[in-house]
Amino acid sequence: MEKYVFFKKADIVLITLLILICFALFAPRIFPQDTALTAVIYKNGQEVRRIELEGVQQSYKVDLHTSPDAVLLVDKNKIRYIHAGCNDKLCINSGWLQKAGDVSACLPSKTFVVVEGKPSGSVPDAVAY
Amino acid sequence: MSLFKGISLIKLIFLGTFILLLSVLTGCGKNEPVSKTDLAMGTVITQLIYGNDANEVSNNIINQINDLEMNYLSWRINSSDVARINAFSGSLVKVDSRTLSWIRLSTDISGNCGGVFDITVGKLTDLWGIGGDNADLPSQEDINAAVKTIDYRSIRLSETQVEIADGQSLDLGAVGKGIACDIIRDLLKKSSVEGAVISVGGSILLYGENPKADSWTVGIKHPRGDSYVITIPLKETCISTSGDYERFLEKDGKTYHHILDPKTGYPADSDIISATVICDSGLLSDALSTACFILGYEKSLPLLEKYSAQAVFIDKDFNVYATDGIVDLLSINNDDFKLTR
Repeated sequence: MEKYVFFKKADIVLITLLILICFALFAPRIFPQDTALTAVIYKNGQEVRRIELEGVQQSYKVDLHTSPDAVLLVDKNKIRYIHAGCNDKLCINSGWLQKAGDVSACLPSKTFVVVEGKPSGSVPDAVAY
Repeated sequence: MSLFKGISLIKLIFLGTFILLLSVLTGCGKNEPVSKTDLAMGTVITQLIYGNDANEVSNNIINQINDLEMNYLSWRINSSDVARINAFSGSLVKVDSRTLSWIRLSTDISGNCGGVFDITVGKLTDLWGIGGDNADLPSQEDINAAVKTIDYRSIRLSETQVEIADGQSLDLGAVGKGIACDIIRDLLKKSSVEGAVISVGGSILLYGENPKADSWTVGIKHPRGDSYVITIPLKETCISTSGDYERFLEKDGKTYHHILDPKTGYPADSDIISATVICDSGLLSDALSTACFILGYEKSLPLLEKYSAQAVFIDKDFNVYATDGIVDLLSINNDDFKLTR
C-alpha cells in the first residue's frame, strides 16, 4: 500500500506562497502607515514649494513675496500664516495646520497651503466652517 | 514545470480563487481618490473624488465654479446676471433661467423666515465691506439709508426677466457657495464618479457612496479654535455653516462679524456663534444657515421643519443644540462643548 503523504513538497510551496501573498496584502493594514506631513505651498494657483514638516529642527519664516504680503511660519510638524498685509487676516486666524488635509488660504495674496500626508487616526472627510 | 506536476488542477483553482478573493477584500482593485485644492469664487475649493474619470471631473468642477462666478453671481464682473440686474435697477433685465430659479427660491426662503435672510442686502454688505480691503464701521446715517433699500418683496420676476427696485442691490453671496454645490452635483451625476466630497469655502457637498466606509463623516469647526469639535456621519447631502468667526472687522476694540441682520443693519446678535444646516439642496442649506444664525435656535425650528432640514447650533457658552433628526448622530470631541436636549 502506498504511504499517504499529507503535505507534498508542492503543497508546502503553495502554502508558503499563500502566506507571502497574505502578508504583502495585509502588511499596510497591520503596520502603522507613514504619517509624515508635507506642507505644499501654492502661489497664483501654482505649487511653489514643498516642506517636509517632520524634518524641521528650528522654526523659520517663509516670505511668499506677494502683494499684499504673506509670510508663513514653519515649525516641526506644523505650519501657519504669521503675517498678512490684507485687512481681514483670515489666514492668520485659521491658526496652525498640523494634520493631513488642513488647508489655509490668503485670498488677497492668492496663496494657500495644503498639508499632505496619510491621516493619523480617524479624521472627517470634510469640515464645515 | 516540475513544480506544478505535484499540484493538482483543483489546488491551482483554489490558489487562483484565494488570490482573487484577497484582492477584492483588501481593495486592490479600488481606485485611490483624486484630492485637489484650488482657489475659485474667492474661496478655497477642496475636492476628494472617487472614480475612473475623477481627474477630468475635478477640472470641470473648477471650470463650472469660475463660470458661475463670471456669468451669473458676481456683482463685480459687469457681464454677470447679478451685476446687470444691479446696474439696471428699476428696469427689467433678461437673465438665464437658472438665475431666475435661484432668485425665486431665495425670495421664497425670505418669505418664510420673516426677511432675516434677504438677497436685496447688497447696499448694506457693500457699505460694511467686511472681508474686503476697505472695511470700516459705517455711520448710523449710512446704515439707515442702506437698510431702507432692503426688501425682497420689491423683486419682480417674469418668465425670463428680473427687476429690482430703483437703488436696490442684489447680493447672492449668502447662497453662492450652496449654488456651486448644487451645480457640482449636477455635473457629478453626468459622470461615472462613485463618490465625492467637495468643499466650496466650507459649504460641503457629499455625493454618492464613500468607498471606504458606510457613510461620509463631516466635522463642524470649533468656533474659537483651529480644529473641529463635532463630527456627524452622513449620506449624500449638502452642509453649510454660518459662523461669526469667518470674516470680521475689528474697530476700537470691538469685533463686527460679517453676518448682517437686514432689519438692524448691524451684525446679527443672537446668542448663536455657529449654525450648521444639513439638507438636500446646497442653496437651501446655505440660505438657511444664515437665517438660523440670525434667528437663533428656538425661532429657527419651524423654518427648518418647513424645508425638511436638520441643523446644529453652538451658542456663546458652547452649548450645542441639534434638531431631532440629527441629534443622536452627533459626536462631540471637546469637553468644553455640551449637548443640550
